[in-house]
Amino acid sequence: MKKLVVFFLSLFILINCGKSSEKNSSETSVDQETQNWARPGSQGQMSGAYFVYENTLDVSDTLISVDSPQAMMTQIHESYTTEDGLAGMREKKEIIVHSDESLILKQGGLHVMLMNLKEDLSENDSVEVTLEFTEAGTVKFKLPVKSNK
Amino acid sequence: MKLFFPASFLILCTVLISCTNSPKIIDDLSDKSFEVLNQNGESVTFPDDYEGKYVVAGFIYTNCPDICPLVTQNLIKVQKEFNNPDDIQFLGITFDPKRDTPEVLKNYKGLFNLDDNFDFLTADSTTISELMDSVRVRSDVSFTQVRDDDKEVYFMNHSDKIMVLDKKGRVIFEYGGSMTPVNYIVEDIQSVRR
Repeated sequence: MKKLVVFFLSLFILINCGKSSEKNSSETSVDQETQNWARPGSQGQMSGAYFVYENTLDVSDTLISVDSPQAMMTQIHESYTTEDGLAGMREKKEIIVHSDESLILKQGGLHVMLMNLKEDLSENDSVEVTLEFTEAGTVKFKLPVKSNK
Repeated sequence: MKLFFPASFLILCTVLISCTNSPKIIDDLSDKSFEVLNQNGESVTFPDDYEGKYVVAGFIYTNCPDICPLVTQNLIKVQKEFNNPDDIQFLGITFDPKRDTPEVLKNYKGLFNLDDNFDFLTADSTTISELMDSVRVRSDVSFTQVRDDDKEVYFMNHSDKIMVLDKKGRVIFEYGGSMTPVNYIVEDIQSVRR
């Protein structure tokens, strides 16, 4: 009987050892970065920018466009996981922000896509981003470029 | 018979110790050889040239402004946790060789202020395709856009992955590249590092 116990105990340990290099992805989480900042980038390449905007109006508002003088083309994009498990990105043309709620652009989620940069963006530079809302009108952000995020 | 249980206990201990130090081999790349270029345009044979070192590699493309920098930042954080170790090589391997030339990768590396123990690798499209297949990294062009200067730019859906190779070129750990807490990776490497 004791031999059987030892045998099954050994078997149990061996089976569990085989699982030692696997990680449960559900335990992981993207760093919840919500500060205002932009990534460094080289001229002609891409960069991303992040910020938090609070809708303090009494009505819902809609973000309809974004622009930056430092990029040839600027859009709002969203990172997401595709049905077959790949990391993907897609453009968001309009985003509704309800009253007293915040629009949060953060790593791994919504972000400003700065395409074809007109100049290098380095640490301590800043990026100007202009947002157009249907209700609030023009909103400007000046975002510091940070490399160690 | 008196010796049976002490002997069983010793066997159990041996099994436990060997389990701790011998992770499951996920992919064996030791019999594969890929001729690639680093960010300086220097020839590198992957994974052969890194034999004798642990390799922590992430898969990226430089036109990705959100997820891929998170992968790179995770690699950097692991490197810092180990205080820039000599026995661990860090790699960013592109799956977009058409645009990610050595020059582009050099500029990309410059954005992160990285040292010599951190390389970015590219190659011709065929080699990159074979390399990605061997480590089960997928990528597809997801959509294209025409920029204001009439040039077309494409974006990619891709695997989000960091992997760790042992000193013999065998993949022993894999993670979600942008999502995994850095301490998971550090602890796994510490458990096998000798």
